Amino acid sequence: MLTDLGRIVSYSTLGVMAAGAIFTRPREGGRVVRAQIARQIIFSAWDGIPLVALIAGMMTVSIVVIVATLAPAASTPELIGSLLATVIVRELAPLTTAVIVALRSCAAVTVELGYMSWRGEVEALETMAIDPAKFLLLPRFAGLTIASVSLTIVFTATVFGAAAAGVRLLDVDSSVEHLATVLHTLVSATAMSVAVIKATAFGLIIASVSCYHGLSVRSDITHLPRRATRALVEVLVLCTSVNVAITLIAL
Amino acid sequence: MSDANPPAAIEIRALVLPSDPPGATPMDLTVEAGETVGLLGDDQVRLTQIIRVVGGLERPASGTVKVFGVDVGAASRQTLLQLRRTIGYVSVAGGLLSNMTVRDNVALALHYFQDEDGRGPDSVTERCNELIALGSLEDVADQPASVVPAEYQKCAAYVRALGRNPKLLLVEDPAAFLHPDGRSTIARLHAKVRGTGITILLADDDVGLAQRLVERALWLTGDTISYDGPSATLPRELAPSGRTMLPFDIR
Repeated sequence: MLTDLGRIVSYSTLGVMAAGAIFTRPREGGRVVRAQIARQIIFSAWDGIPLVALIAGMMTVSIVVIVATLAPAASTPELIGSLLATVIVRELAPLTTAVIVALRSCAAVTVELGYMSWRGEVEALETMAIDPAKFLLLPRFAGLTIASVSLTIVFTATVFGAAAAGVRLLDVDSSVEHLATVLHTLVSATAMSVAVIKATAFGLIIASVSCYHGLSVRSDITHLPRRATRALVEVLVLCTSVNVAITLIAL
Repeated sequence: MSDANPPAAIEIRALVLPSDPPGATPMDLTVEAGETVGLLGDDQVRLTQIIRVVGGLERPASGTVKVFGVDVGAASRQTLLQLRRTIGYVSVAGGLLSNMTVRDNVALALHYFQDEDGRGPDSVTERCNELIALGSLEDVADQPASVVPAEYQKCAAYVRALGRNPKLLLVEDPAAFLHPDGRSTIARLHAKVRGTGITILLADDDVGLAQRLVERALWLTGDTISYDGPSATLPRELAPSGRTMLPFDIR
């Protein structure tokens, strides 16, 4: 228990170091660090858009099909709208996006930093007076958090588009305009804010856990696969727990 | 007001290393600015650890190590990062970033401190080309660092460390991973930088190479300095026969 608490403190410390790196010696590393952030955003966010859109679309079609099949015709648009607004936008969009970001980036970051740590590259940065918090942590924290939030927005937008397409294709007893009206009523600014808060928290969790486990690899490279697996499992557990906590607070 | 007594480049007092057994003899050493000093002996691990302590990568078990007046054993991380702007450091394996080309590695610190150093992009490119030529790295400059033979990586690490004209160069083990051509390149590098007033401290168990790289040699027998004098007159009985290992020439 104490070990777990200690590790969570370490995760937070990495977050504080990454945030602090923005303000310490601002003239340092400008272009180099910005290039690293851009690289991380391209890998974690931009390259992940097709997968997120595909999964969001397929999940939505499933929901529309199930509701259209099981629910009484008269209540279909309201039920679809309600499910999309509460279950998908507030709950599944940030969490599913976090799982996708974690699957694509968590192991990659852990392995990359673990390899760098084992090869002495992190130490070499320090010997060149290059702050690893700024050169390594900040780009990953920024990139993964931006990826989590932006992909959640992509997920949500895809859900709305897929729902409209599903309603039209399945010839549900409702117009797309009717569905749009229902969604407009149900998807409040609060629901979107909760989704963004969750996505931000998940991005920070993915970054801190994967960076921690990567940098924990020292002299023994055989620890790397175990660290990568452990990081992914911890990210899933932490994100699910935080998701429940934010849901309960926001209810 | 001018400083009448500028601090020594390196001042070691009563140093006991973390790996030293209880009762080890504390070590004293002063290296004045501009001196080139080699720590020689049979125990490369211990010699390397001394360099790491001087570079602030490890803390001493007891005693003080001051570099340009800064107590590196007690300094904060930020103070060490500040101090390292004046230090070039070459680790045993070089520590090149494996996801970059050799050229990008050599230019990394130049780009990172570009604004602070007041260098434009052209000036960085020019300096980088100078360093590539200094290390005889033209043929491998645009290859990923991870696929380049070890001796080139070592040469690249050397020129990277010299990139911002440090006042002090620390080298863990110049001979490691070098074939005869690499040794010649390293010797040529040393010959070029020795006249610039840079202070050099290196540790090596390859006496033949080290004698040619530095002017002052210290021979460590266990934890005791048994010789401290010109490297050219190092008694042969201290360096057992066969320790000057590979053919050597300065081209």
